[in-house]
Amino acid sequence: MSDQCDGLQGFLFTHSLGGGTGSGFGALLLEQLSLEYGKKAKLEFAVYPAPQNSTSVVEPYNTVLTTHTTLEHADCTFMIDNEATYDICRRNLDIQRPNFANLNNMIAQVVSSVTASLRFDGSLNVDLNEFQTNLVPYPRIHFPLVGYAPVVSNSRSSHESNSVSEITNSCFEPGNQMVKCDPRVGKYMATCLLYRGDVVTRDVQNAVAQVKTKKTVQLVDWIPTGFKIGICYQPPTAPPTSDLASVSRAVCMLSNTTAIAEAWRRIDRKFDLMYSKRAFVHWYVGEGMEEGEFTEAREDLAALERDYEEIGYDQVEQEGEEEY
Amino acid sequence: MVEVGDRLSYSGELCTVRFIGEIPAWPGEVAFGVEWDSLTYGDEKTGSFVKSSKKHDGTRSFYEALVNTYGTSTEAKEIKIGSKVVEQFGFEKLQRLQSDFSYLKNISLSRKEINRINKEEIILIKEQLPNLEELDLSFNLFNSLESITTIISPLGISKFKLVGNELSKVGDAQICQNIKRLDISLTKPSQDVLSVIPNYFPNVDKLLLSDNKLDKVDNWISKLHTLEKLDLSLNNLQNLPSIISKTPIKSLNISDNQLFKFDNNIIYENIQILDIRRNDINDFDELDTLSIIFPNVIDIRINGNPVFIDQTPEEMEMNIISRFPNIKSVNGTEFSVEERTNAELYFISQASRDPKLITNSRVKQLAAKYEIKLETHVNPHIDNIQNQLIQLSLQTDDKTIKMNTLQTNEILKLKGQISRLFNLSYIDIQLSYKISQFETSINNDLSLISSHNFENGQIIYIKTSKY
Repeated sequence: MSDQCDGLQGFLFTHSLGGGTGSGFGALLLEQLSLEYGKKAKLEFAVYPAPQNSTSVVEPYNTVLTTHTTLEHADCTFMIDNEATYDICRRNLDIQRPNFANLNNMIAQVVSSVTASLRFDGSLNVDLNEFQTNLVPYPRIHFPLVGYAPVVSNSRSSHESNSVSEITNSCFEPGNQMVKCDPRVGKYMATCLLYRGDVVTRDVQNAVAQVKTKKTVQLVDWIPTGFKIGICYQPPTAPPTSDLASVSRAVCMLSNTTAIAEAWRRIDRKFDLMYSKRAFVHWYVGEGMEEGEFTEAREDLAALERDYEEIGYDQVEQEGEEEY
Repeated sequence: MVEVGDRLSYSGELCTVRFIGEIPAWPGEVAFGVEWDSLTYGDEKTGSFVKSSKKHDGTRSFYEALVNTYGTSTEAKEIKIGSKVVEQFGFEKLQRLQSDFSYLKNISLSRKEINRINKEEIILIKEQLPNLEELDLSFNLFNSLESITTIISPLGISKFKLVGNELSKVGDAQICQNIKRLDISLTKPSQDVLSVIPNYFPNVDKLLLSDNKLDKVDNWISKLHTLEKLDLSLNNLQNLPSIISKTPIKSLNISDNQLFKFDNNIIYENIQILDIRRNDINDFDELDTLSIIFPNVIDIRINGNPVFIDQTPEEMEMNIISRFPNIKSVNGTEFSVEERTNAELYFISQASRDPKLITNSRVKQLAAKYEIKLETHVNPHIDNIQNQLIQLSLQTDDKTIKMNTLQTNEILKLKGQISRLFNLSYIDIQLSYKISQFETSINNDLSLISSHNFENGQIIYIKTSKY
């Protein structure tokens, strides 16, 4: 199929990290694609195991192994955390017990707005390579955080005016982000705000000027630019059965922040707990893996954590010089 | 000139002028008595006096606001965050597109202090906005149907939003044939205005009336023959408006009201989607009534009612699913066939414990479905306790006392009971029993009485070290 394309841009991957086909076969497929189409962009949407509710005990193993394999093959990975999505459904949509249909609806909406500028007449991130140039300063640091607003249910949306400044503010809040982590403790390396639908320039400028005054949004110093705004005139739509209200405008925030290292630390800790006792490892060895692969994968992730840490430290020192 | 009933805006806060004149505190100055929209004290509106000389935010006509917002090009301001310039992409193109009004499908002019349209502008907007589908005039300064309909009747729009204005007067309004979706939430519409809505918006299929402090809905609603969706959330309704049963409405949102009792003689046949969250339903009988009067509902949201207050979401779902035979989705979650079976069996099992439920017609129906015989059991828990009672006859040297105790008690507890009965110190007691003439002492205080396999009426010998 891809050989028949006239202008192949790249690949979009949607898979899970926790286990099953997504983590095992997905990683293998990505590896293969990377061999055959080395130059093409490969973007992932990865469903990342949630800190609290999980479906399988060996999720940490699968996640670490998959991440290790795909780290050098994928160009940009948007992480989506089941628990964060679950919380968004519960809090913003007042669904008591969201099931996978609800979660998938939500994720679809987010994926749709990330890719809106690819599919419609957008202005920023118009092709897959641009995502990479805009968001990925180092090849390994390619896990942007996604935030989306407005997430309101049918009944309440009529009421709340979803003005540009309101949605801009709320997409910077941890409650509207797809991974459970606190961006307030991290530093932003790059941020893209992608507006959709009926917005006017002046409103956007005012809204961004408001974001600017927030203490919580801090950018690293070593990238000269890092805050970009794009517009796509196509308004968001929702399927008729969706719990999301149809709105005339939405904003999606993509930001490469050091705060996401928190998610890696969490999964690494769980991995260590089990691996120190070699729990469940025999299953993997039985399928032909070697224990060495576990250690290797874990070391790779530790390096990733360190990478994020270093980026954060640099910034703290420089800031200290400036302020005092 | 400002008149009573006009709407003004002071640094973004909207208000209605209720009084114009002099007040003793400010002699020689005209004061406006204004009622604020958003500033409330508890549930009450607040008002205050404002000097007429104080500058308000002014008013605009519709076209002025349109040109101002979409038409004029704003110089791309440079915004800096820290030392970084915020880069903006595509704004020139957007402006170019937007300044060509015929391109616009969707306009929002909320919080623009619009209160009128000038006569010569009517022709202008008719020519320049041919493709407009959706218009949002939320939080502006309109106060009558007249001023609103003169704007929207020349336009071909189908969706119109007017949240946060005030609809107190009708005036010389015009008919708007094209409007399908009308949002007049938070507009405090008077009964006069409501009663003429069918005349001016005859083809509405979606009507949003939320947060309007309504305590009743009158017959006017039945004149909207195409109405499919009605939103009455956040009002003060205490009774379900019975007129809704005579309308073609399929989707009813009546959440955040004060409903607590329902009349089981009025059947709402057309309703398929019902949202009745956060009302005052506090009795499962009312839930049964709801399932009778809404026989065709397939999607129900009902969480946040006091009846479920001490139930987990799972219990709540079971209770709802089992009562409504046709629903497919509850509180926003679709459920599977197994979950329905599970819920229904749970409901029957509850009925067997609660004699009140056994007469419930829905229970009978379900019992027939699963061919389960309904009978009220004695609470099995009580059963157990009776099984576990044992009579022991306690013998000291001089007297015998018979006593009932539970087999599940520990010896320690038995000793405590004995010490009270015989007025002995617990430490001095030594218990023993006989197995075919051999006396066996009970040494382990922590063993259960049942572990010794006593018969009913077993003789227990009590010795005290005093003797």
